[in-house]
Amino acid sequence: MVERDTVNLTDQQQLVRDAIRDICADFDAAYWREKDAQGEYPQEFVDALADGGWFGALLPEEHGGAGMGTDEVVVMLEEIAASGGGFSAAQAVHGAIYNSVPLVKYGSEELKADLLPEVARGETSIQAFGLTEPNAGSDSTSIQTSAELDGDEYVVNGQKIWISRVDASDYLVLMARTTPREEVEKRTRGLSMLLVDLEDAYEQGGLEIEKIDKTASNFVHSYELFFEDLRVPAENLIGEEGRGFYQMLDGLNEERLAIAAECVGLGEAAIEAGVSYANDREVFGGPIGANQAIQHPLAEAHAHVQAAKGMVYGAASDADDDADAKAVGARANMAKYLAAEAAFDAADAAVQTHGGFGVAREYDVERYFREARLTRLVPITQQLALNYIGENVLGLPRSY
Amino acid sequence: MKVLVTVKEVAEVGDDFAIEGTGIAESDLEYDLNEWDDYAVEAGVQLAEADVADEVVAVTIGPERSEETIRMALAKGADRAVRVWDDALTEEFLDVAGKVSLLEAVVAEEEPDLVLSGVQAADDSFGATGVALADRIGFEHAAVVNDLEVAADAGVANVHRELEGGVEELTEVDLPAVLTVQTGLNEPRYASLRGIRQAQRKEIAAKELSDLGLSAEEVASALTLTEMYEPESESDAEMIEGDAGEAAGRLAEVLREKGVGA
Repeated sequence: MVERDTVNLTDQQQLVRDAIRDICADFDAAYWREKDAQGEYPQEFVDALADGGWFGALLPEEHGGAGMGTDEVVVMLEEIAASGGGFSAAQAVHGAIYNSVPLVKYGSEELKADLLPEVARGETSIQAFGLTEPNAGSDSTSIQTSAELDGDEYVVNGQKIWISRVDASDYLVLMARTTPREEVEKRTRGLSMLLVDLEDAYEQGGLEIEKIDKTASNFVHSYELFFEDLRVPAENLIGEEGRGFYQMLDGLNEERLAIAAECVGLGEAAIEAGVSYANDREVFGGPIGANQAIQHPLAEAHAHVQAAKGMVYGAASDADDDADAKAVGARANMAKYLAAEAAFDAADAAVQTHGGFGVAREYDVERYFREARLTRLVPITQQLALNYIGENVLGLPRSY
Repeated sequence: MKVLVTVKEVAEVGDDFAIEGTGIAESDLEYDLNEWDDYAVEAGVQLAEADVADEVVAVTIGPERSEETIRMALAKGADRAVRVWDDALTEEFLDVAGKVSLLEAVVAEEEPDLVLSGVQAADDSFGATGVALADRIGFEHAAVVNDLEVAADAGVANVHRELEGGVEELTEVDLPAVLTVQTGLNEPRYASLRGIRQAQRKEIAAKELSDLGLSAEEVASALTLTEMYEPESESDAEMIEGDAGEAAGRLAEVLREKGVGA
């Protein structure tokens, strides 16, 4: 086993790590391989976490949650990915932890009292977040889905794309325009956050979904959503009307650190697989790992993965106390950028180490590689992360 | 009713490790809660959940590092913990009698009605601590328990014990008692997130020899660890592969070669 406990952990982080390792030990590589091949959501794994109250990680204790913070969640998600579940296993549950955060911060007392204890107990899931649209990708303020107030209900019309885990969720946190872009002073205003009860939406006939056929993260499904006169009770508005964009940004940096941790875990899984094969596989009378052509790419990637890990953990331990959102944002974007690059290099080296077997399902590295490629695209592309660093950290002129 | 669960942090090694003096290189060791003790903790917590036990106290003998392990027992539901260690214990090998002396002092302080202990520890595998403790403190005991029902009012534990040859003994043990717990007694839970959170607020009381009224001489070991080595293998194991027919054929061949059954 490659040593990967390279960061000093608090007592609580250690317990989180050990407990998650316990759970993940029951879901081996074959489990994830099969889920990926079948494109089947890992419900058993998700249930095991839900039963243990893990989706209440960030929820306050008065609502039945664990009242933990970013520093514990990064451990949890890194461990899930590193266990062999990869980026996809972490993504299968990522939304369950983060989509309730705006509800905690901005939701009405009624919504919170109704939903948060159920989420903390794992009985209700808020796994889906509806932002991206066909005509508005990273340019979020250009979204066209509208929600118009009619009496005591919002009427939603529009289309969303690349919305994940809709099939595994009871609720969708929906971003919609409540005031047209041309009528607001700033483009970041006029957006609102609505909590959509998915079962009710299907029953009304106000929402249709279509699964997107894709080749990475196969067991975490993504959808196109079509809203037609969907009626959402006005009390399901999260926070203030028109302030949805700002509410969404609040907490985004912490979530980005969690995604960076998922990349680190994926990189570690790839390094473990590569090193193990390099030690075992014998060609020309010795293990192929004796060759520096095999060693160096693995060593280089390992160094990058562990460097990214150091940055993720350092930023995570400061994130919740650090009042300066810009400083957290800078570190979160740099950490995510580095972690995704490192995971990609690690997966690539692991595939190359395996030679022709690198594309055989049974060695798992091809799955890691597909996922590593994805980490350079989501939740934002590497280029957008660089834009952020250029503009917000280095003070260079905005390019777009 | 009060339950005392003894837990041990055990060292585990992978396939490759280096021997240094009478020990194994620290960098090759990983520490974990002893598997048998995990079942003992679960048994204790289940008794508390069934309102049979009022309090479950975990006790360990180990340096500060072992708090990571005992904290897991707290996260799984033990109410509080006692950790016994002393600088005097770091130099010498601690044998069963020494451990029993330490645990005896903890029992005197805690006055439990039931002590649950793993059958053995995965590292040194003496498999003696629980039973030796019962003998010392004058409690009834049952070893290798794989089924347990406690009737606290009647003051008895109904247990099944695993004996050699697949035989099971059903017996009644009067409380207070020491039971050594076999794996499979129950299904140890995962620590829940709330359990982890709550564990942070639970007490781990550190005790030194003087706190327990003991001296270094009283726990001095009669055993000395003189050497650590890997046993040389005298023969190689052959793994027989193939379907049942092929495997049986090869097995018959091997037995014939060895002169079995002539």
